[in-house]
Amino acid sequence: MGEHAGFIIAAYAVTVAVLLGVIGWTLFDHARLKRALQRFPARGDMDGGA
Amino acid sequence: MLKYANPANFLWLADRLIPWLGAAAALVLAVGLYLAFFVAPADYQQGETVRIMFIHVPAAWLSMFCYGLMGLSALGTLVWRHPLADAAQQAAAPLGAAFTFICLVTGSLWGKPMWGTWWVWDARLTSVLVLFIIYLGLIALWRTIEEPALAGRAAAILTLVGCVNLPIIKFSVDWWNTLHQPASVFRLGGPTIHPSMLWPLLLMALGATLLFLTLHLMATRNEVLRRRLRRLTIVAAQRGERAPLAAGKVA
Repeated sequence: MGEHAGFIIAAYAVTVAVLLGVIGWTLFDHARLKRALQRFPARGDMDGGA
Repeated sequence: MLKYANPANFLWLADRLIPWLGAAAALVLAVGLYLAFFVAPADYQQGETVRIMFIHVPAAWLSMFCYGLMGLSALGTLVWRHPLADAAQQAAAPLGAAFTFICLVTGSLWGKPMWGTWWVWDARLTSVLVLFIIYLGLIALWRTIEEPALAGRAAAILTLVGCVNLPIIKFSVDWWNTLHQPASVFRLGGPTIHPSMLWPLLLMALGATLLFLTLHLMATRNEVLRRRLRRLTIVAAQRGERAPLAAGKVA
């Protein structure tokens, strides 16, 4: 990649790091919310609103 | 379509769409990266640094696409007061901030070897920095106001005001003398990029868009669940039950 390889690698490294961080956080948040919701008994009347 | 605007139906649909969208994004990005690194030639002026374009440009497009999506959601919140529109808008803000951050950093890493500077206060760079600050401001606003409906309306108004920045970003390179190059893909008269670079770029943009849509569905699903958990916690507290999770941790 020539004399500017450092810039190219850094650009891709930052992109991968940010995207992996976003994906990881979203998955972790989902698992945490599902766990918390499972502690409540199922109530059908709660499905109507966001 | 309206049927899926119901949060419960949305959750059902999101659970089924997310794996397929994610797999499609991974596949398209893998092919796009292969073409970007092993098929597309080095630029005759910029040399190998043109490889940065394949992540910088999709990130720039998505930073604006995400804000446009938030603008539409803001209308849904203010006009129809639809709770899913508010959840979609709130879920999009961190994603927009992430893609704008990638755009700014990769642009800086591309600018240093090509322009000789990491940053310049020209109209394009400055307006994208303003977009990033607006995203951060919106995230802060949602965290500041405890009542979700009130926070959603306040954020929707700020989002719509911020929409004025989108045409400024798009046309900044035409309206002012900027160090940033003018539009080379979406322009009257067609793209000025050689097809050997254009197709990998379009494929990377498609893959990044699919990834964004996957992440947005996942984040909106989380937001719907968070609001459901908050409501259940409040109901449990009102009934005098011991809440399984403190309300402060789910707001």
